[in-house]
Amino acid sequence: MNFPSNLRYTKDHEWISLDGNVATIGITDFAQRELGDIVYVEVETIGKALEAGAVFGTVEAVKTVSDLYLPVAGTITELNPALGSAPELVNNDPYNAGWMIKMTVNNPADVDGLLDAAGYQAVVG
Amino acid sequence: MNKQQIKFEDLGRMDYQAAWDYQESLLQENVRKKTEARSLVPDAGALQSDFNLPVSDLSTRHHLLFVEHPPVYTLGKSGNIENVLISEEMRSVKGIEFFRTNRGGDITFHGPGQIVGYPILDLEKFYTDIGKYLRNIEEVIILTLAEYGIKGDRSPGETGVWIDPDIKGRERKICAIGVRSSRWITMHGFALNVNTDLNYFNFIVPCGITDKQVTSLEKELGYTMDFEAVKEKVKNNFSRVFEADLVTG
Repeated sequence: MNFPSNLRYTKDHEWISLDGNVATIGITDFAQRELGDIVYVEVETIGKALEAGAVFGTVEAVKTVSDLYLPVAGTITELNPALGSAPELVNNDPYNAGWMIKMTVNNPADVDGLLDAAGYQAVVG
Repeated sequence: MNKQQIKFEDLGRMDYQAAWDYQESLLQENVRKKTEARSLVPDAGALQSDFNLPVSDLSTRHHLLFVEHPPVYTLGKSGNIENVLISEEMRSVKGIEFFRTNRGGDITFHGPGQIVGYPILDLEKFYTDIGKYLRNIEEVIILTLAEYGIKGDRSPGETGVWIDPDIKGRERKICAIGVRSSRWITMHGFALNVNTDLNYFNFIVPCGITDKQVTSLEKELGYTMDFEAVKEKVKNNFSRVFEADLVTG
């Protein structure tokens, strides 16, 4: 499995990349494999200020509906528009075309406190 | 991993809605505890003495519910209504209820003679891996079937427990699975056909899969099963696979 070293990770199986105070977030290669074919990504929290760990949406796979958790505090600005018609992008390309949301991060330093690729690799064994 | 304790309750015959409400209440209770415990973390000691809250009051509790529903079709969150083949009139004539639910999966049937299991588990105390959770539920059923000499199998990409999944035209599903996870707490679960009247499945496209059959323990073995005995085996295998003690009361 692939865990790019330029990303940060959470134990809830999300990845985050930071550019200034704008972060892009998705789920990891491990998570998409475990979930199986993803059929729907629902995010109803765009524009809301949320705490780290808040539930920002749900991801629905063939047999499961699961929460999505915000890695750091901030405000979601965008849902990946491509997922509406092609949710399978999350399976096929979880770190690029399958990104889920963009957000403005309250405190960019919060991202440094998350797991690096080696740390996440240890979580998923 | 510490051995977890799971509170077991057999609800007997219960309407789908009542059992769903009960699951929601157990899940919400756990979500509330989790949220409060999180907010207490920075200064847990001080807050706990202020409110005189024992630590255990904020600890999530695992549950396993068994229930037998009156006839009901349920559709998953993104399930396709076109997989319901029966008209609403016919459905009400036959006394079959219908619900749109918040679980994953498509259409399924629940009814008498089927063991429905609803685990309300805090997966953070087991593993935060929904795929492993589904595989473990399948394992519980596969072990149970083995006790009756039936070889249950997985079919990659088609969650549930199958018999002869690799023999074209013979594939038949004996246990359907569909779950929801909120804050890593699970609800909904599995449905194992024991003495289920399989005719009810003729009015739907089970799980949206058109070319495969549904079966039951009764159909496989050719005789009506001791329902309580099957429940006992499922319960024991659940305890074994999840490495947990099932406690009552």
